[in-house]
Amino acid sequence: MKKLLLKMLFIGSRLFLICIVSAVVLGLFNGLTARQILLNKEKQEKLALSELIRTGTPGNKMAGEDTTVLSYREVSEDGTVVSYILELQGSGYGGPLKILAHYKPDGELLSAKLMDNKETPGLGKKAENTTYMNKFIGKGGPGKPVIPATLEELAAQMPVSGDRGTPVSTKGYDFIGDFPPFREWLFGETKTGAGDSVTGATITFKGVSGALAAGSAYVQSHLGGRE
Amino acid sequence: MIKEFTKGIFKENPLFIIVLGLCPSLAVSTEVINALGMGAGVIFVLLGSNICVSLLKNFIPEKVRIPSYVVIIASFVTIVEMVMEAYAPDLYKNLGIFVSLIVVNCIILGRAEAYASKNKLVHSILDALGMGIGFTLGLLLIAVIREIFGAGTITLFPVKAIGFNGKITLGWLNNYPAKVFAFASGALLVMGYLKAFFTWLEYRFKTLKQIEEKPGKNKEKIKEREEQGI
Repeated sequence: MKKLLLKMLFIGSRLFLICIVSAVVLGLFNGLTARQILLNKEKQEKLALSELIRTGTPGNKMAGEDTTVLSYREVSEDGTVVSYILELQGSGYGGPLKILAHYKPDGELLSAKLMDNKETPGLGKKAENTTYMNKFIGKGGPGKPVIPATLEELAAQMPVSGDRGTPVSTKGYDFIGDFPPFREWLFGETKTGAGDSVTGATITFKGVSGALAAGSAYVQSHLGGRE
Repeated sequence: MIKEFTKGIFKENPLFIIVLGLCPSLAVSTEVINALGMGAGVIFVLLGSNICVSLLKNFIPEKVRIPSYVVIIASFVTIVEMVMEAYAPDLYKNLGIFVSLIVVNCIILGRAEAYASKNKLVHSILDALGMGIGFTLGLLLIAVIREIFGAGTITLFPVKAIGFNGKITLGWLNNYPAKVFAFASGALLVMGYLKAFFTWLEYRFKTLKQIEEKPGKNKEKIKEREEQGI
């Protein structure tokens, strides 16, 4: 019994030693790289802010009081707050999605950019393309279409080819993605089947759209909308 | 010794012959650039883990060898990920997910267990290089087929100096792509056909070799091959 215990202790201590060495090495590399990673992130954020804001100056980052809204910045012009930049967190296929979104004080989305994410390259990752956010821009304010948080809401906003502006019914289609005009509008598909299938990654879409809709609601209830 | 290197490229190709590491491979083979990124990551980690396992083979107890290999591989992947994120952020943005996926790639653990833990350092290095290159070539083949037929494009790394944006568009195929190739079902179809092709090639080479070595004892096989028109 004692012999067996000693043997187990010997084996366990070897594995423990390997784990300790690995942890120390990882800690060293973390110490060496953490500062540079942080600097890279700040640089990326500055670049994204300059892309999102056309007029005005962004202020300091303030903590958001929400699980989706991580932080926000006021954008001022001549001493007046003209818009807000929100740092949002959505739930994507590969984990959390970080989004920087620019809203008018009434909650209308002006622009947005997908930042940190681990979405699938070739599918959800394509949401990083600037054109991806076009389907959400100009929505969310009073008298404006709501930012669609689900595919069904997106389909309800969709105009029909040849009869644009008329509400459509998706009855008769078990899966919304099979509805031909929806596919044409959402996926950019034509009758030839060409087009981008960016939104085809539905989990990424829900993560992005849900976060943008929550951001708009936050601006309306906590920031500009309360004034 | 050169056989240790070349075996991974065709004879024991990890994708088409040993059939290892399929999950991440099929997931990332939507574009050629992804295949190149994943391939580079696998070569690097495979080399590192094979070196470590080969050096520590007498230190690691038999009963805890797999947990030990997992710790070594995961540590190595994390180091690569951290260094890349810090000093090559653009490359990390493209390859980041592939580097993480390498942890769950069976090829790495498979080679550590089946080869590096039983062989000398130099042999383990050659094995890692051969297997890594074989995996990259296989993945590249799947990605080329999937991207050409599924999107009508070939996506590579952009070269700003010569004004190359990284994407080659193939006119007619780009307008009329067979989208099934871009989806998971297309990945399985391509893999299935390529596996069948490589199995046929393997069979062909094996029987040819047998006939060349002992022509008298393989009369039946020769007759069978003549009937099949091989």
